[in-house]
Amino acid sequence: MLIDPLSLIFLTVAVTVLAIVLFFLARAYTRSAEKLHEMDKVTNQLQNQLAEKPIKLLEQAHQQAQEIIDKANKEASEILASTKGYEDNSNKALKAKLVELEQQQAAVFAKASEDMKIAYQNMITQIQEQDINTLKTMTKDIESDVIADFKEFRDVLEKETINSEKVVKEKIDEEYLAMEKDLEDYKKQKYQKIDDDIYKILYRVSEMVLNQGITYDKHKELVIEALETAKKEQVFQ
Amino acid sequence: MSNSALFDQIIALLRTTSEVMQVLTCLEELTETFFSSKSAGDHQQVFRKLPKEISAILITGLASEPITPENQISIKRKIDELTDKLRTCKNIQLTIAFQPDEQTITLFSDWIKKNVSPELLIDMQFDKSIVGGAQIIAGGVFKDYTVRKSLANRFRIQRDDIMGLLN
Repeated sequence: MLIDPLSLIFLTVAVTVLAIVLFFLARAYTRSAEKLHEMDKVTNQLQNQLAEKPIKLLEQAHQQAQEIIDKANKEASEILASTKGYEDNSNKALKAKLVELEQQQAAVFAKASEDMKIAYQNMITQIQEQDINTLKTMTKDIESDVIADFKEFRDVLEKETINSEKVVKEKIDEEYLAMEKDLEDYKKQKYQKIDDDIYKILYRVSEMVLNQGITYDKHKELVIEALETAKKEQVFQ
Repeated sequence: MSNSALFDQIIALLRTTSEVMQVLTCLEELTETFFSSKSAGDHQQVFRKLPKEISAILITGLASEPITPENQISIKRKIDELTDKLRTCKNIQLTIAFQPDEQTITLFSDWIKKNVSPELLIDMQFDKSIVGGAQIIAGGVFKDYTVRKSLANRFRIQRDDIMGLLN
């Protein structure tokens, strides 16, 4: 197998370039590793320094705080001692002022109360007067209303009574006329019946009297007269 | 005696329709005895219940001899003719207010036979309520000649006067 010389050259150049690159990479790596090692060392140192510094700071702060507290206590004691007398004076003055204020307040309250009492009494009197006036007005109004209502009621009642009376009177008149007519009819019937009855009684009495009064010969005579009358009237034709 | 003469004699004596009915009943009884073996006396006995004069005329005219098959037909014919004539006799209905005796009936009958017709009979009725007088029905015509009617007329005419007197 034959290799092209160009390819061989190219391959050789490429390997060479790669070897160079690899060399520089290895050198860079080595340097980086050294730098990293140094950085670790610095870091450790810094960590150690940092670990020691707060404790010192704390101790310093504690000390300073103690000093400040002591100083403050001392000043407070001094202040307390100096303000003792002032407090007593202030209490007395305050009490006196309070008593004065209390008296003033009592006087003000008393005056206000008196004023309020007077005002209240005046107001009550005024309200009473107003109430009395209102009551009087209301009484008059009620009286007027009642009188008006009563008058209206009386008028209505009077009107209704008159109407009712009129209706009742008409009804009574109608009933009276009807009753009068019925009574008249009844009277007529009764009179007629009495007439008829009396007539019948009279008639029967007459018959009975005549029956007893007619003699046998008179009967015969009456029959013959009847026959003769019938003959005259040509009943037998 | 002829049948006509017999009828004339009988009708002259008969006064009322009730008497005619009695005669007709007797004639009927006589007819019924035709077929029985009876003597003339038995036949005559039929008429004995009638008034005496009428009975005598009928016996003379119809039952003077015994009824035999020979005279039976002629007697029957006489009876039938007499019955027919009697049945067709005219009558007037006379209603009166009293019960008349025989003389009174005769009086009325005589008056009618004399004044109206000798063959006219009276159908006598009695009604006390008519008080007096008579009601007559003749030939279908009714006439009221009673005292009751006169009284009613008087009451009707003078009713107001009567009522005035009562009041």
